[in-house]
Amino acid sequence: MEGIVVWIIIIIGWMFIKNVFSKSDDEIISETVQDNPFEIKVKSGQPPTETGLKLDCFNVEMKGMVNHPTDPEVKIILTLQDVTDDETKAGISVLSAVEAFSETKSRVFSWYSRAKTSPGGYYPDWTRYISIPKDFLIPPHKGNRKIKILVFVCDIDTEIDLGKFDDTSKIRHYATKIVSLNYKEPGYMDEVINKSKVEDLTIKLGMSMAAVDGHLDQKELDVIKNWAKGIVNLLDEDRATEKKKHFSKFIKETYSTAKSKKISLSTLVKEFNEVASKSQKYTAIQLLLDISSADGSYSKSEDTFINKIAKTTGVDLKTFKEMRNKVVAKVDKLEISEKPTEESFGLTDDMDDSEKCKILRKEYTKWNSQTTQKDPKRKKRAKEMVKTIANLRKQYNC
Amino acid sequence: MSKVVGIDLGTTFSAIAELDDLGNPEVLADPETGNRITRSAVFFAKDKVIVGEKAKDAIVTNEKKVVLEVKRQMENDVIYSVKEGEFVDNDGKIKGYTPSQISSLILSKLKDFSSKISKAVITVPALFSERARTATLDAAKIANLDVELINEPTAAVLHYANLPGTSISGRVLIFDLGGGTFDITIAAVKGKKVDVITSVGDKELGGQDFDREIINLLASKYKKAKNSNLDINDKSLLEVAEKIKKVLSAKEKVSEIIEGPKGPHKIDISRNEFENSIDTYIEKIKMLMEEALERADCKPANINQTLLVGGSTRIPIITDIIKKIMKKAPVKGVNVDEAVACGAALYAGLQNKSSLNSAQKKAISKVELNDVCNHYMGTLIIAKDPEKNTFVEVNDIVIPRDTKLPCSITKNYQVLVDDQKKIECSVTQSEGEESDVEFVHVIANEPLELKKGAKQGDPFKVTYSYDTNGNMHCVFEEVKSKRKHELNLKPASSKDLKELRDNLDFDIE
Repeated sequence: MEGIVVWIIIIIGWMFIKNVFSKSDDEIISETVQDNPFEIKVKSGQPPTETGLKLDCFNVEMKGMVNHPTDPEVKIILTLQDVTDDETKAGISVLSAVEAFSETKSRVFSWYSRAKTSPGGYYPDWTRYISIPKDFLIPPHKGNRKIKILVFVCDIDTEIDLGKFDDTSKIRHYATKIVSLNYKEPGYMDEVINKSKVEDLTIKLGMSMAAVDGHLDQKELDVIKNWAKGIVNLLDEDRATEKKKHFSKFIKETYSTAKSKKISLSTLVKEFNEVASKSQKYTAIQLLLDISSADGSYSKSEDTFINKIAKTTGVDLKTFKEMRNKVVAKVDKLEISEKPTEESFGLTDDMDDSEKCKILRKEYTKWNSQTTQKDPKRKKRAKEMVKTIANLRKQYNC
Repeated sequence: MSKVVGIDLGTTFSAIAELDDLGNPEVLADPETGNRITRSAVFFAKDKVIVGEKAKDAIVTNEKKVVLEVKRQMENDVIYSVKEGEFVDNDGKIKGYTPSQISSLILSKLKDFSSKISKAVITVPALFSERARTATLDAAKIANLDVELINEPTAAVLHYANLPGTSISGRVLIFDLGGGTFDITIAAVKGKKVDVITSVGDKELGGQDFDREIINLLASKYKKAKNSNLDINDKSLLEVAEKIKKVLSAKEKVSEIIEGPKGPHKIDISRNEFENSIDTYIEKIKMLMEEALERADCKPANINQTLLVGGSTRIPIITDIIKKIMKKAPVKGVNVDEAVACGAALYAGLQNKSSLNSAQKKAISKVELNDVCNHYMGTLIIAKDPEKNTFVEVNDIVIPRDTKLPCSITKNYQVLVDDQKKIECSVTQSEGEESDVEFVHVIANEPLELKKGAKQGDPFKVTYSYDTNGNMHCVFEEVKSKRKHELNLKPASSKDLKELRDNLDFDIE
C-alpha cells in the first residue's frame, strides 16, 4: 500500500512539474530584473563548525545588494533546478528528502529566510546564507547531475509554489550558480520510467524469498499475487487488463525459475539496486517480510535472506529493524538464529559490551511493554524476545 | 464514624489498612485467623466461596476450583472456567467468572476486616494498563466499595516518608518486588512531601515466577531420577515451590519429598541452583533498575536510600543485586508486606479529609504527594517518513511519560488533503516512546466530521489535560471552524453493577 501512495505522489508530481516548466521562469525573470548587483558563490564540503552539521553540503554564500526600495524587510528564496540536459534553459525541479527544505505544499526543494534591510541594504563581504546537505536532494535522474542553485531577493510577501513565483515583479535581485552532484540512487523520474521493471524485479525477489526454505508454499504465492493485484487495481480498465496479463505470465514464469532454483540472487539484487529507488526498496522488503510470515512462521533461512537483502540494498537498517519487528511480533513460530538476532537488535561486532548492554536494555523496554498484549501471538512473541534479550545480556556480562 | 481504608490487592497476598485514631496507618488482621496478610486465593466451594489460606489448601482436593494469581489476568478478556480449572478466552459461550468478579471476592473478604467503610484506595502496579485499572474498579464496584486507585510504589514511598522518626530524604528508589509484579519508582522526599520522578516495571515478574522455576528444577530432577515427568501445571506443586523458596532465603540447601507418577522421591535444591534458575528474571530486574536511573537522569550515587517493598525482596540474591548496582545496602526494618497497604491508607486519608477526626487530620496535614504520568499518551497521525519517502500512520506523543501532574499539552497538526471529510480522534497509550502504531494501545478512537471544504494544511490542534486523579480530557479541534471532539477518559468502572455481578451470588468465607 505504501508503494501505491508513493506512486500516486510521484505521478501527480510529474504532472505538475511538467506543467511548471512548460514556460521558462528564467525568461520571465530576465525581463523583470534589469540590473543584477547581487552575487552568490557555492563551496562544496563540510559547513562551518558553528552550524553543528557534519554532512557533505553545498555551502551557499551571498554578497551585494539585499535591499528594497520601500520595505524594511526582504525574503531571500533559494530554489534548485536540474539543468543537466541544457544549462541555458530552465531545468527540472529538484525534490527534497526532508520537509524542512520543501515548499509548504509539495516536495519541491525550497528554502527561504527573511532579512532586515533598507533602500541601500548591501552586504559588502561574502556572507553565509545556507548549507544544503547533499543527501537531502532528490534530482530527477541518477548519475552526474548539474544542479543550478538560484537565490532570489524578493518582496516579503512573495510566494513560491512548485518552483513558480506568484508574481515575478516581486523579485528584486537574483543570482545563480551551477554545481555538480553525483546522485547514486535512481531519481524521482527514474522511478516513473523504471516502475514496471522494478515491479517485476520485486516479484522475482519475492519468489526467491518464497523458495528460500526449499519449497514454494501456496500462502506465500498468494501474498505475491495479492501484491500484484494491488498494483493492477489502481490502473484504468485498459491498462489494468494489460498489466494483469503481464503479471499473470510473469509470475508463472518466475515461479518455474524459482522452483528450479535458477534465479541468481546476486545478479537479481544488482539489477534491482540499479533501478529501484529507496521507497521501492522498502516496498520490496515489506513484500519479502509479508511473504516470510505468510505461513505463520518466520524461519532462520528467511531471516538470513531478508537480512542479506536489507544490507545489500543499502536501506537504513534501523528502519528495516522496525519493519522486521512488526513481523516478528505477530508470527506463531520464530526460528531465528542467535547471530541474526543480535544483528536485528542493532548489535555489531565493533561495539563494546557496555554499548551492547545499553541497546539490549532499550529493546527490553520495547518488548516488555508488549508482554501484556491482548493478541496471544504477539504476547507470546514479546515474552520470547524479552527472554532472548535477557539471555544475550548475560552473555555480555551486563 | 465512617472509615477510609487502603487496600493492597496483590497477586499472592493482599492486605487492608486504615488510619488509627491518631492518624497512623494500621494493618487490619483477619479476625478469624489473626493473619495480617491474606492469601489472594479463591476457592469456589459447593455453595460458598472461600478466600485466603484455606482456599489455597483446597488445591489438594479441588484443584480446578481454586483460583490463584487473578491479578495477572486483570487486563485480559478471559473468564475462569471451574470446569477447565483455568482462565480461558471469554467468547461468551463458556460459563465462568471474570477476573473482576474473582478480585471482588478478595476485596469483599478484606472489607469484612473493617466496618463502616466510606471510601477505599486500592493499589495497582505503576504500569498497570487502562484496561487493568478499569477491571480493578469493576471489582471494587461489585464489592460495593467506593474507590480510587494509587500506584503501589507510590503508596509505599508515602508510607516510608511518614514513618515516625524516619530519616528518609532526598532521592529514593522504591524497589517493589511482589508475588506477581515488579515496580521501581524513584521519588524525591522532603519531610512528608513526596514528588514521584519516574516509575518503571514489569507486570509479569515476581515470586510466582520464581516458584515456577523451582517447579521446573523439581521436574528435571525427578525425571533424571525416575525417568518420569511431573505435571508442572499441578497447582499443589506451587505450594511446595513456595516453601522451598522461603527456606532457601535462610539456608543454602533444602530437601523435599516430591510425590510423582513413579512414587515419592527426595529432591535436594541448593540456593545456587535456584539463583541460576532465575537468572533471566534477575537480568530483567537489572535492566529495569538501569532504566529507572536513566529516566530519572541520575546515577546510583545520587540515590540516598533504596526502600524495599514486597515479599520477594527477602530473597538474598535480590538484596545482593541491589547492593551491587546501588553500591549500598537497602533500608531494612520496615514490614515489606504491609508498606503498600499502609501507604494506601494514608492516601485514602489525604483524599477524604472530611472523613477524618481532628487528630488524624493533624497527623496527615503535612503529607503531600505529587505524581507523574506513567505512560506516554499519544495520538495517531499520518506523517511523511523521510526514509521511505512516503506517508505512514505513526503514533505521535502528546504527553510524555513522567510529565508532572496535573498537566495540559497542546500539539498542532494539519489537515492532510483538500476536502478531507473527517479525522479519527484516537488516544494511544504506550510504555515506551513509540512511533510505531503496532506497538501502542489505542484506548479511544472516535471520528470528528470536518467542515465542508477543509483545505490541506488547515490547522488542527490536539490538547490533552491530565489531572492528579488519573482523569484525562482530550480535545481534538479543527481550528478554523472551531469544530471539536472531546473525550473524557477517567478511571471508572466500565459497566453497571448487574452486568458486572452476572452469576456471582455467594456467601463469602
